[in-house]
Amino acid sequence: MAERELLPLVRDVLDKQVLDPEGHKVGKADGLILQALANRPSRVIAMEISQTAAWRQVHHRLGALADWLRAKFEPGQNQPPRILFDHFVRGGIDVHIDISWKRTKALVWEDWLENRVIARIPGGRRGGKK
Amino acid sequence: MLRLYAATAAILMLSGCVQSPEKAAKDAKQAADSWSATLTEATQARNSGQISPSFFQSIVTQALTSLKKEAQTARKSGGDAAAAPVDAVAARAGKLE
Amino acid sequence: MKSLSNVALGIVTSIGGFLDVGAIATAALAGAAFGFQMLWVLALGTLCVMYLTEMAGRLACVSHHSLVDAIRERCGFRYFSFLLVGEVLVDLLVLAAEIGGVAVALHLVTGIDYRWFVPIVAFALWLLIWIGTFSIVQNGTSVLGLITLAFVVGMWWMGPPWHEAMKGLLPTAPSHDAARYWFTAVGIIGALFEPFMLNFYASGAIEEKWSLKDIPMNRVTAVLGMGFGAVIAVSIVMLSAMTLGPRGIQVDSYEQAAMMMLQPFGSWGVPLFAACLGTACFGASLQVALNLSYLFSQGFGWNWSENLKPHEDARFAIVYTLAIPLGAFLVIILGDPLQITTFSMALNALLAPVIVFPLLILMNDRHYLRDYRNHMVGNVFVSAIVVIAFLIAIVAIPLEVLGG
Repeated sequence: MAERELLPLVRDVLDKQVLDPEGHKVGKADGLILQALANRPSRVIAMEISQTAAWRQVHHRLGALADWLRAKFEPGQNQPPRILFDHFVRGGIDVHIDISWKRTKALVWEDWLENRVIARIPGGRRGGKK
Repeated sequence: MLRLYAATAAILMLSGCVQSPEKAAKDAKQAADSWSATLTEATQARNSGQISPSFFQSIVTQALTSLKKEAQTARKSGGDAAAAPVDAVAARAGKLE
Repeated sequence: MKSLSNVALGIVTSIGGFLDVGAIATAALAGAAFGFQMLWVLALGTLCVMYLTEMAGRLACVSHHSLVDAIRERCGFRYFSFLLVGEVLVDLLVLAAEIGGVAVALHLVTGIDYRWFVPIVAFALWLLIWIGTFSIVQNGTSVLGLITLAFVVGMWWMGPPWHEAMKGLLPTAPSHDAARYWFTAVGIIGALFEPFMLNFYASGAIEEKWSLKDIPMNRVTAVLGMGFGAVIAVSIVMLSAMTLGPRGIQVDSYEQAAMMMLQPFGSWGVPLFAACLGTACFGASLQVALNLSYLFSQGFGWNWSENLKPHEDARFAIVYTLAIPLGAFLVIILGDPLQITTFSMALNALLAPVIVFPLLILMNDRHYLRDYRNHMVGNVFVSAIVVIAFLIAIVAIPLEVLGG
C-alpha cells in the first residue's frame, strides 16, 4: 500500500496563488470546501476563489457584504467560483491545477472589464506587443 | 494597551489644539522672522534678475497666506501681542503685492 | 545591458521612494532649521532602507513572488486586509501629494495656480502607464531623475564645511526646539520608510524576470540605487543648511525651498529646482500608482504586469485608471500638497511595521527563500528596524501635534 501523502492545507493551499498548466494566474485559494461524511473523515472537495470566502475570514459581516455584492453584480454566476479538488496537482507557495483558467469561471470580472470598459478606452485593445 | 495609547493620543491631540501663550508668541515670531527674511531675499533676487516677477509674486502670495494663518493661530492663543510681529510682516508683504 | 537595467530599477525606486515630494520637503526643512544636525537620521534611514530593499529583491529573485503576494500567502487574508486598507489610504494620499508636487513644480516656473496643472499631470501619468512598458517607466524615470544631481552640484559649488557635515553624522541631541527636531526626524524616517517602495522594487524585479543569478546584482542595485537617493537627500540638507539657514529662512513652502538654488545657480536656480521637484514627484507618482495596481492584483491573485496590454490584465489596469483621478481629486480638494505630504509621512511611519514585520518572517521561511534565508546578523538588524519602525509609529502622531 502506498504511503499516504499529507497535505498541510493552510500552509500549502489556503491563500496561495492558483496557476493553470500554462502558468496563467487564476486567483488565490480564498477558501476550502470540505465535505462532511457520515462515519468517515471529511474530505476537501473544492477550492473557492471568491471575495466572499476571503472577507469572511476577517469578519462574517464583511463576508456577507461581499456575497451580496457578488450576487448582485457578478456577471452570469449564481455561486462563487470553485475549482474541484480533483484538479489539484500540487501545492507549496503556489497551487497548480490541471485545467485551463478558461474552464474555472474565476475570471468573469476580468472578461467583463476587458469587454465593457477597457475595450472602450482608446488603446485598450491594441494589437501587437506593448 | 491600545485603549491607553488611543486615550494618550487623544489627550495630546486636544492639548495640541490649545497652545500656551508663550509658545504661540514664539511660533509667531519664528514665522514672522522667516517670512521677513524670505521677502528680503526675494526682493534682492528680483532686483538682480535672479527670479522672475511671477515667482516673486508667488512668494508674496504664499507669504500672505501663511502669515494670515499664523496670525489667526497666534491671536487665538496669545492675543494681539503674540500676533503683532506676524501682522507687521504681513503688512510689508501686502505693500509688495 | 541587463546590469545597467538592474541599476536603473534601483535608481528609479530611490527616486520615487527616497526622493519624492516628502523627502525633498523634509530635507530642505531639516537643513534650514537644524543645519547639519540631522544628517545622522538620513544615514541611519538609508542603511535601513538599503537592507530592506535588498531583502525585498532577494525574495523576488528566489521565490518569484512579490512582497505583497508573499505576505498574503504567508500571513493570511486577515493580516493582508489590514495591510490593504492601510496601504490604500496611505498610497492615495502619497499619490495626491506627488501629483500635487509635479503641479507645484509647473506653477513655480509659470506662475499659474498649480491646481490648473493637476488634471494635465494626472492624464500624462495615466497615459504613460497605459501605453508604456515597465522598461519605459523605469529607464525613463532613471534618466530624467539624473537632473536631481543638480542638488549635489549646488552643494559642492557652495564649498560645504565637511568637518561640520561629518559631525552631523553622529547622533546628537537637538540644540533647540526639541519637539520640532524629533518631529522632523520622524518625518525624514517616514519619508524614507515608504511601504510602497519595497513592494514596487520587488514587483519590478519580477517584471524584469530576476532569478537566482541576479541575487548579487540585487545587492549592488539596492546599495547603489538607495545610495543615489541618499546622496541627493544629503545634498539637499546641506545646501539648505548653507543657503537658507544662515538667512533665517524656514521652509514652510516650496517657494522658500526653491530659494536654496539661487546662490549656486543664479537665474537658473528656480527652474532647476522645479525640474528636480517635478521629475522626482512624477517618478514617485508612477511608482505609487503602479503599486496600487500591484497591491490589489497580487493580493487577490489577478493577472498583473505593466508589460501586458491593458486588455490582458483588465483589473490591474482598472485600479490605476481609478486611482489616478482619485489622487488628482484629493489634491484639489485637500489643497496644499506640502500639508498632504506631512500627514502622509506620519501615516507611512504608522504603516511601516505592518510591512517590515512580515518581511522578517518571510526572510526566514525555507519555502520562500530556500538556501537564501537571512543570517543571524541580518535578522538582528531587521528586528532592530522593526523596533525602530514601531517606536516611530507610536510617537509619530503625538509629535505631529506637538511639533507641527
